[in-house]
Amino acid sequence: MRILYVAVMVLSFSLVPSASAETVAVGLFAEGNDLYRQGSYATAREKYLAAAETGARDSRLFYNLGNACFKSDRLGEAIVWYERARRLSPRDEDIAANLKFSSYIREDRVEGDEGMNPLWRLSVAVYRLPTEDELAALFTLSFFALFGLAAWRLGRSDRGQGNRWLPWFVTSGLIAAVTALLLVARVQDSRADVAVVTVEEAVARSGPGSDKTVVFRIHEGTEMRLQRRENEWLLIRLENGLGGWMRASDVTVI
Amino acid sequence: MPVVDKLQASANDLMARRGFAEAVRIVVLLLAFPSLCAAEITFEASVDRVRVSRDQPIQLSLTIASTENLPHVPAPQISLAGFEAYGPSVTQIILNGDTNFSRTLTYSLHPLRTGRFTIGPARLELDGRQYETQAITVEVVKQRTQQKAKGVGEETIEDYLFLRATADRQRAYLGQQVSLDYDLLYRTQVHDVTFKTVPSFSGFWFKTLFVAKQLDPKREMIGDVPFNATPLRKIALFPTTAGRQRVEPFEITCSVPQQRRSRGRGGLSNAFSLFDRSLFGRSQSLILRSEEIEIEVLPLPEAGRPEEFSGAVGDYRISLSARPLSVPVGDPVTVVLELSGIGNIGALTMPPLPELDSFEVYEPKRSLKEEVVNGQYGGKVAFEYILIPQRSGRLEIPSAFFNYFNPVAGEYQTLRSDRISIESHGDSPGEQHVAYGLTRAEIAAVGEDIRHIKPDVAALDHSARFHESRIYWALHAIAPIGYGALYFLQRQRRRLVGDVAYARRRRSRQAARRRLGDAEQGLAAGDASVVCTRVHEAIFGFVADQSNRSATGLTVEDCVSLASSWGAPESTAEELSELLRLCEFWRYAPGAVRVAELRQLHERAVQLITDFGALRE
Repeated sequence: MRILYVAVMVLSFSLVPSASAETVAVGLFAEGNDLYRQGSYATAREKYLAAAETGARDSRLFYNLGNACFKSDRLGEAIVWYERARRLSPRDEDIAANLKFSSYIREDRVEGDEGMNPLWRLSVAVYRLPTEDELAALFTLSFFALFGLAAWRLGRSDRGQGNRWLPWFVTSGLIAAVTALLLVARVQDSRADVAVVTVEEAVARSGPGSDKTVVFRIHEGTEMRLQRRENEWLLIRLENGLGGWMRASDVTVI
Repeated sequence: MPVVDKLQASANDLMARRGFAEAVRIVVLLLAFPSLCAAEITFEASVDRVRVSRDQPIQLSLTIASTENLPHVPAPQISLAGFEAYGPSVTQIILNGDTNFSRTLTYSLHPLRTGRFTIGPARLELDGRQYETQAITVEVVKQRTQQKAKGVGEETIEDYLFLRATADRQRAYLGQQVSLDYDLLYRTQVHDVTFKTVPSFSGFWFKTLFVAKQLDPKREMIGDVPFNATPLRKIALFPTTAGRQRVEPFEITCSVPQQRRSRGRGGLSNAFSLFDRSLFGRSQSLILRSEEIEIEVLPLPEAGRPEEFSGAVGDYRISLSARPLSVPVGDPVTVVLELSGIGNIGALTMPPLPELDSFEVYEPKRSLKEEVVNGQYGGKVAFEYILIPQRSGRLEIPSAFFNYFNPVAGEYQTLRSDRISIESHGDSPGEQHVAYGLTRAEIAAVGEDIRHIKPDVAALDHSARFHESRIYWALHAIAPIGYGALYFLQRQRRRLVGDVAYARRRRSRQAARRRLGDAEQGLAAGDASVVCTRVHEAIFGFVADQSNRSATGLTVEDCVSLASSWGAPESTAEELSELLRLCEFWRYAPGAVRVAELRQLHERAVQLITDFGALRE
């Protein structure tokens, strides 16, 4: 038990930031809010960025930063921060609304979910519903419940008195398996390089070089998947499968 | 008498007449003699002729000769103003080991102008000494030096060696290809062929199709005389200016075996014989010049000239291809418009692609592949377009066309490609005003502006995600490890309960240790009876537990027999027997035993149980 206690304490302390960084971030966040309310969006953006540089990973900070970028005519950057905020708080309505609005006013069309099968759309919604922390917590609970039930069953001498424990055991196992799969998928998704165009217009070429044929042009705010990097060139692919090489300086990875 | 012997005799004579000091002086002279007799070096310059015409080269030879080998000879210094010098080629001869050394540097001097010129003197510094050749004066005249009139049976160099320039046509249209070949024809040995002057081809755009890297002759009859014909250069000319255009002569330099002055037989028939160029034979440099070529360039006819004519002259074909032929709206289609044929393919301009309303067209990428077909320059040029269909349905790419002038037919011609149909499916961009499920009608629900910022907070989350920590995942290992430990303990417990023999075996050592502990207490108290009783019980109990038998009915013989069956050595079995008998004896005669003997008995019992335990494992 002592070992378990020590491990939990180590885990807790390893995840807790220093108090000073947190205080600074809160102060910068408040300053940013004041400036935003006064209409100084560019300065507010700088304050929020400074708060983010302290290591804060708070969806509220990212959301406000997205707003400040949006108001400073930085649509692509706003979408980057809204997306980062949504990953932390997928059920936040404000984030979803501003992301929708930003996505709507960008120049390029993006494949939406409306063409999906309803069942598939529901599955995607369910998949996106919990946060990664919630999935991790659920997995831990079900995992320990699974082994706890197994241990409890092992310790019982009256094993002949039915299998009432079995449904609980199976349920715990299923929950643990599903949450583990979802968590892995979400982590993979969040680690997948998704980028947003942050310049007014970006040119995709047939190869990594300025002399290569222009394949297509996309505009600020368009999201895409990164597939490969070659020096300052990125191979990107749009939702519709169209791919091309773009300058790394034209996009920001979420 | 040799010089050294004479000096030796003089020394002897002096030793006799003038005494020792004089003799020492002579010996010193003798020792210094080799250096006084150092190698004799000569440095000479010579030319093969002193009067030449402007187009004749002079061969200058600088010869360093020595009676000893000269391993390092520096390059001589010489002024060659008025000439273009080629070389030097070096010939070094060492005869009779190192007694005769000769190094000859040969320069080929081509006069730059007429007049009298002084070559040299050449200077050479060798081992601190300066050597200098005599200056040579040569005269360069305008006309070739008077040759002897060619008489019957006499031949000139041109009968053996000449440079031929051939154009495949003397009249050509502007932009029409004219193939120009330069061939070296010879029927003597030729070597060191180098290009001296390549024409500038002013009035033409030209493309060099072939440059010889080595002589590759083919047999060719000139009249009834066989020659070796080697192509040196092949050039495709495309006239750029109408009128009479001249191609300047092409010049090369080469070396042939030097003419031998054969008396009696006369002529040059032997001069270029294969046997004339021996290892140490001399050769002479020549400049060969082709004849000037004149081409009459005709302007392109005005009659029938299409408006879109871009100046292409030749013989071409056109093709238009696309892939894929079926795509969703918004996906790219690669369309390749290719022109191929004979002509100045590299200068072709992009033919206009037809108006394409249904596609978004991106700037094309040009690729060129040059070819030489039947000695004619041509190839293919491709223009690769990226087209993005903007609506669904059957979209047509109309024929592309290309105008050019065909000089063979003498008329303008128009090429047309096939039409191509692209099947485009899916929704067109105009129908999709959606983003993340938002339609245009839903914009009201979103509002005309973004939502407001989040209010101030007491704390911002800085912590990393739990699942991103390795400790988090390591903690999960506790559950399966704990379960495994519990499972093992439970299994042990159940086995102890259900398997009596296993349980007795597992506990046998513990029981034996406990009894031996009691015996140790008896030993401390000096109670021989207790010690012997407990040792006896410990051994009997251990054997009974290990073999799952009752200790009550066991005899000493049974114990020994069981120990033997476990694989105990005979000596151990005998020790067991002796120990048990001593125990039984001393239990009933405690006064007959001493404390030391009891301690030894205890120790032997402990050892025996340890040994048996090891055997049973």
